[in-house]
Amino acid sequence: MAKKIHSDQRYLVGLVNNDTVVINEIYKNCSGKIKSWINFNNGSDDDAADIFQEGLMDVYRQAKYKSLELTCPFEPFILLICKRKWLNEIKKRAILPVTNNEDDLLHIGEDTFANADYLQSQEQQSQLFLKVFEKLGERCKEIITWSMRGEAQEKVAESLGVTYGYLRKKKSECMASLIMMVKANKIEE
Amino acid sequence: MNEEKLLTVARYLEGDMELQEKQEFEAQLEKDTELQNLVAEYNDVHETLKIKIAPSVADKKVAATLSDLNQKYFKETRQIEPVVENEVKVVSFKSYLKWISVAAVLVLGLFVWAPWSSGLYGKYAISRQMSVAERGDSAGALAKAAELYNAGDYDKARKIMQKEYMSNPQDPLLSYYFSITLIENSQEHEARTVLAKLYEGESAFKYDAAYYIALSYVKQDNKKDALNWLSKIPEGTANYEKAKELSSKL
Repeated sequence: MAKKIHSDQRYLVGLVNNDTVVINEIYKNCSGKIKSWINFNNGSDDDAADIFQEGLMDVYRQAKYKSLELTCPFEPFILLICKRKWLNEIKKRAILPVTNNEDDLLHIGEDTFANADYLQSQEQQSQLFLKVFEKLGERCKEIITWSMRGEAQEKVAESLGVTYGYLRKKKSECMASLIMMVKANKIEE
Repeated sequence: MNEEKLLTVARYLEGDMELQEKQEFEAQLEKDTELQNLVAEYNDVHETLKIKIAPSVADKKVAATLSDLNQKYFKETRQIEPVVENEVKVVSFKSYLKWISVAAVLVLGLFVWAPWSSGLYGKYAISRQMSVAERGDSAGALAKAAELYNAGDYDKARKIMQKEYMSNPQDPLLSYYFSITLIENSQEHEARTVLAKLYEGESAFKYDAAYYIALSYVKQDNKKDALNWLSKIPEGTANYEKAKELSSKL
C-alpha cells in the first residue's frame, strides 16, 4: 500500500501498545454501532462482543507483526471487518441475514474496502497455515509449538526425551514439510 | 520446486548448519532469487503461524484489555437496563403526544393526497408522506431521506434510513418509515423484523406497525397472515376502518 497513511493509524498504535485510553475510545465510538447492527441481524449482545473482540485482535496482530498501515478512517474499517465476520458466522449457523449489501451499512470509500480486503486475506492465509499445521504428525506439531514459544532447545529436547542434535534436525524437517504442504495447498486452491 | 532446497532453507533458518555450510549457503542466497523467495515465504509462514500458535505475553495482555472492555460495553449495559428503561418511559410518554400529532398530520395529509395505485397493497398503503420534525443530530440525513421518500425514491431513502437505524434502532418514527422502504424494495421479511419490534413496543406507531405487517403479507399474496395481523388492530385506532375494509376484501 503506497498510499498515505491515515491519521487514524493512531488507533492501531494504541492497540499495539495496549493503550487503554485509546482502546476505550475505540469501544466508545464503535461498540454501540456493532451491537445494533449485529442485534439487527439476529445476533445477541454476546455475539456482538465476540465478533468485535475478534476483529480488534485481527487488527492488532496485523499491526504488530505485519506492519499493517491504515489508509482509511478506522471506524468504517472495523465496522466492515466485524460485519463480514458476522455474515460469515451466520452463514455457518444458517441464520437469515437481514441485510447483506455492504453499501447498506455505511457510506464507505474504496480505501476502506481495500484495507478490509487486505486484512481479511491475511487472516484467511493464517487460517490456511494453521489448517496445514494441524495435518502434521503429532511429534512435528509438538516440536514446532515448543520452538515457536521460544523455549530453550536443550530444555525441549530433554522434555521430549531426544538429543539436542536430533531435535534440531527434526525441527528443520518438520518445518520443511509444513512449507511443502502450504505450497501444495496454495496450488490446490 | 526442489524438496532438497527447501530442507536446506529450513536448516539454515532453524540454525541447523555448521559455520562453513552456512557461509556457502549465504553466498548462494545472494545470487539465487528462487532461494530468496523461498526464504521470504518460509519466514512469512513461520511468523504467521507463530502469532497463532504461540501468542506473546503482550498479545495476551491486549486480549485481556479487550475482554475487560467487552464486559463494560457489551454486558454491563444489560444490567443497568431497568434504570434506563424507567428514564426512557418518562421520555417516551412526553414524546408520545408529539408522535400522535405527527401521525395525525400524516393521516390527514394522506386523505387529501391519496395517490392510491394498483393492487390492494398500493390501494391500502398509508404513510405515503414522511415529515421530519426537529430531530437533533441526524436531522440533516433524515430530512434528506424524507425528501427522497416523499418523491417515491424508496431505494435511496432506504439506504439513508438504514444507516440512521443502525445507530438509533429505538426511534419509532425512523423504524416505521425504514420498514416501509424495505417493503417497497421487496424486502418484506426484513421489514417485518423491524415492524414486529415496533409492534411489541408502546409507541404511537404500534398499530401502524401491525397494519404494515399485514400489508407486507398482502403484497406477498399471503392472505392468512395478512388477516391475522389486521385482526390485531383494535377498534378506535386510526387504521381500524381501513383494516376492516381490507380484511373484507381478502
